[in-house]
Amino acid sequence: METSVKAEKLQKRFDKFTAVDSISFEVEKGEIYGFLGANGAGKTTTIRMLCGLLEPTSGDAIVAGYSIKKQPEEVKKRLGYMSQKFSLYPILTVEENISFYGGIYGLTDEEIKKRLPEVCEAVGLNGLEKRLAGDMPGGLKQRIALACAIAHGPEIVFLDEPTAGVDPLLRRRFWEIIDSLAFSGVTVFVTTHYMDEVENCHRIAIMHSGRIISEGTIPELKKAAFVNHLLEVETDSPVRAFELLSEAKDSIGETSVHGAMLHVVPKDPATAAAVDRMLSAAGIAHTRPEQVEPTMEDVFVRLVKREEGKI
Amino acid sequence: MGNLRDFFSPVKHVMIKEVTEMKRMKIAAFLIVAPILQAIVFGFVAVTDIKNVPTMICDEDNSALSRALTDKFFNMDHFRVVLVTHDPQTIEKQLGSNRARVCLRIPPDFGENIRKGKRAPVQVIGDGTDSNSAVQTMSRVQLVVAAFSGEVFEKKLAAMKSVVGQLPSITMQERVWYNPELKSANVMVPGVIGLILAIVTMVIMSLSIVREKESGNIEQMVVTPITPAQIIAGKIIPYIVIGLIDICVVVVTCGIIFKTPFEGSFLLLLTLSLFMILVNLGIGIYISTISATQQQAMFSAIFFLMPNILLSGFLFPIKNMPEILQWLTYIIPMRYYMVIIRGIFLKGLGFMELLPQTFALFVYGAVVFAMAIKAFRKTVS
Amino acid sequence: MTSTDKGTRNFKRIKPVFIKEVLHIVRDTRSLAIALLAPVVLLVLYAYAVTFDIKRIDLGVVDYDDTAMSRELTAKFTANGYFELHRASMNSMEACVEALRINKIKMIIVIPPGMSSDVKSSKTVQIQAIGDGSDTNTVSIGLGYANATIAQFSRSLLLAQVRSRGINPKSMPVIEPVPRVWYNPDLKSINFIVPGLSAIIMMLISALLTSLTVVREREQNTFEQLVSTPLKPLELMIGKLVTYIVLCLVDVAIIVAVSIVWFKVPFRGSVLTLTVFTVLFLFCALGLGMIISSSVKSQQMAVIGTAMGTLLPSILLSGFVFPIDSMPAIIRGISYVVPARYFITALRTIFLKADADIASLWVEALYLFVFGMFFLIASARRFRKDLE
Repeated sequence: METSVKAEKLQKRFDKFTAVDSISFEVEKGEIYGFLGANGAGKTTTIRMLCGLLEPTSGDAIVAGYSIKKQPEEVKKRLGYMSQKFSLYPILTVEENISFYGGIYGLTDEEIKKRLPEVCEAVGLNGLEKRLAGDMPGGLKQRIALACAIAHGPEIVFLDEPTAGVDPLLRRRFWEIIDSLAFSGVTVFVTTHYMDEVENCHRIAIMHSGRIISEGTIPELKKAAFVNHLLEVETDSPVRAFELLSEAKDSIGETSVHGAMLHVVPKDPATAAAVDRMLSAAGIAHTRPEQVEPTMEDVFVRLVKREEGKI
Repeated sequence: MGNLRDFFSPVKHVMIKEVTEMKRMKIAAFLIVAPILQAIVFGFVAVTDIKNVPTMICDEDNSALSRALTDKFFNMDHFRVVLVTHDPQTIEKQLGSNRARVCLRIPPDFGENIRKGKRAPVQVIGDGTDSNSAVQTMSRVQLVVAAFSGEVFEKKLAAMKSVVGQLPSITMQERVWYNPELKSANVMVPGVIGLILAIVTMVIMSLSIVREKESGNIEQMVVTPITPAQIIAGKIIPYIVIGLIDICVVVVTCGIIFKTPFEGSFLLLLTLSLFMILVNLGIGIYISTISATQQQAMFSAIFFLMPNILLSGFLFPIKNMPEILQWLTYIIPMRYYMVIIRGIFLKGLGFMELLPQTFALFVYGAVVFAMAIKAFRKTVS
Repeated sequence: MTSTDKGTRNFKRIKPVFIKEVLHIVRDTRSLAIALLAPVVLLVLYAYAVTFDIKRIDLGVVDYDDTAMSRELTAKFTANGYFELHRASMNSMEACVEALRINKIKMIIVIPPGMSSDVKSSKTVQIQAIGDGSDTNTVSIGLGYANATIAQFSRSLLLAQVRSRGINPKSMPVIEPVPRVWYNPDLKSINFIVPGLSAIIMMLISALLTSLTVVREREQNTFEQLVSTPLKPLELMIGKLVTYIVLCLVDVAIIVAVSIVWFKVPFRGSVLTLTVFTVLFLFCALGLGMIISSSVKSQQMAVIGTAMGTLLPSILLSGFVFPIDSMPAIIRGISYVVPARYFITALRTIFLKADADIASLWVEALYLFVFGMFFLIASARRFRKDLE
């Protein structure tokens, strides 16, 4: 497999504050690589470095075969970037917006002409080319923005929080587009804090305070976070149950609340029975503790907590 | 050659986008129509010659001579006699309520004094509220009185001519060059072009960049291989073209309406205007880099525009300002442009004669533009 | 529900809008600084720069006569400070013409050869005065000065001749104009500028800021959010207006204070009358700003609209600098619909004239009131339609 992005000890410091702390990772061509992390974890800074917008304090990365330190201009030509606050020109048509970005990426008029239908096809904008971008609903705007970012046929697309504020149905459609994009050989590098969305990524890096604390496919991450499966209990009074179980942390393991559900990270196989017993004793109505597959949210919370616990 | 094409290909797309936006927002028409209106209004309004001043005459003498003097004020462009009275009590009322701006008061013994060959004082009472008009109006009244005095004097002399014989006299023959009828419009119209250029190329342009900053489009552009120089080139070229179109349009319209003469070379005017446009654009870009919102940009631009209007010699002669202010005018780019544009319009000056001003604008433009691009590069990265 | 209840409730909803607007202005430090500093800077600039009082006009003299008499005449030109002789050595016609072309001098006086001998033989001598018409103002006044200087010189020669022929010139009548200036005896232009400038600044702040405020909300999509609340359009509008009224009153206070304390502009009227007129004018300015704001789609257009629709007319057609009386009839007609015209007249009267004269201002007050109400109602209607 061909390597698309290769970061080596990439670091960015602003004065005393280290935003990105020597991170290294590799992304393969055609992969959807996700960056998961809380706001301020260093996701955007990393992306901005990889795009050639910020110069790293130390370390380097090879993006599409070029060093971001030595040849940022070459890098820029080969990637598309859709920033968090991507904004279209509302009084230009869809087509005009895409042509504009294609044009400033250096495409010739003929290339733009050829590319336009391809791009519109790829993001599902056919038939809307002549409409004003400003008249489009939010979900479509997102797709137009993506179309602008891939207008010049980049090898890599960086998407910074691409689906913020888009409704779930359109989000799903958006991820289908991303999928097909990756299938056609484009590397997609995406940051998000929507846990459910991460499942669309082939590989994920979890960032916390500037560092990658874990990296891998979803099963790999789950393995790294939990030895055993999780126990799930549904109850009428989750708060009381949570307080009760938290007190017994040392014997049964850690508990967290998810709506009416409680998740317990079991210490040993006997934990399920112990939880059942404790809740019954306190007179709290509950379902039988069942083994469940941990969600990405569980994984994330667990990994971050473990990381903080270490410090 | 290929390099040049590589440079201009993205620039072209920025330009297309810019022009499409202008067209859709109907700004383009505005940027052409508004200047014409502006030039016409200025041509009519910015008249430095005071006319039709509401005038009252308080003739307490009511003799043949006092009536002869009163008559002098009728049928003159400068005065519009609103009241002739014999009652001095009304003066205060009329001036106080703004019904008259100036009053000629002829005292009761006026005719008597003249007949006796004495000094005959008359009072010229002016409303000083509008100090500038008052200065001009009052000196104009004094000129009329002096002329009348001369007439009386001559009459008396003529009566004595038999006694004294031929007398010498020195008269003055006036000749006004370049603008023989001393029409204010001929001076204002070229000046207005300077103002229009400043509005179109500095104010509107700075807003246009800040808008992209506010919306986040600039950031999106920076990740592309397009360089700051290319972005700027693409944004300013449409404004340069509009600026030049404005000049043509104003010259033609005002030529028709005001018969403004145009003595010099039109090509030279356009060429030298380019320097001024470049200075304005540089300032505009600079303002846009230091402004976060359009409101800030607009305020900063207007704040810069005001001294440009006041201290450029556009309306008020630089020569009459206090010395410190006169020194200050040297850093006002429009000062140089006013000399250039009026010189080309009215005197037909050539490039060599305008070299000092052109050079000043060139230096100014180079410095401002370098600063602006540097600041722009910094804000985008 | 009593009307007071309703009043308090309305006020309760207006207050947050007001606070939001205030925060908007205060947070944007630079705009605020400019809004507060601009009046002072403009005041100083105008106070010193605006003067039609022409002095030290650059003059070239071509003296073909070159006698004691011609030199005496040349000296007369520079004696009273009206003219400044530009390089005495520049004595050739060609040099002077070139200097006139490139703006080194504004006027040329040509003294013909044989002037003094002609005078001695009681002939009439003609002096030529050439002016550079590209500076109409300077030249029309300069020619007047030149005329007066030559007439005076001529008369003194004449009197000398009369005297030499044995007649007592004392018996010649002279009509002597005695100038007197009321209200502004020193003819200080600052006294004239201050009232006008207050109006311009108020237009600048109120019309421009209000015109931006609605468009900005629309551009940033905060408008829809506001509309979805129970806030009534009128309340939103009042909340916004109150903010700018306060800002403008502060500005006017600054202008008035600086001009009275620093420039010693007299203030003969009453603060009450000043406030009444200021508020009346503010309604006009704010109403206009609101109308523009709800009729354009971008901030850029709002700026162009306000500049063309309110600022320029207020500067040009109000008598601020250019006297309305001197304008052509059509333009004079148009000036009647420019609110600044009435405001500036009123302010000048309030500042400089006696209290008794203020009674005569009711016409101006009425005009401003009618305009203000018209603009406000029109803008409120537009505003409501806009929201629906």
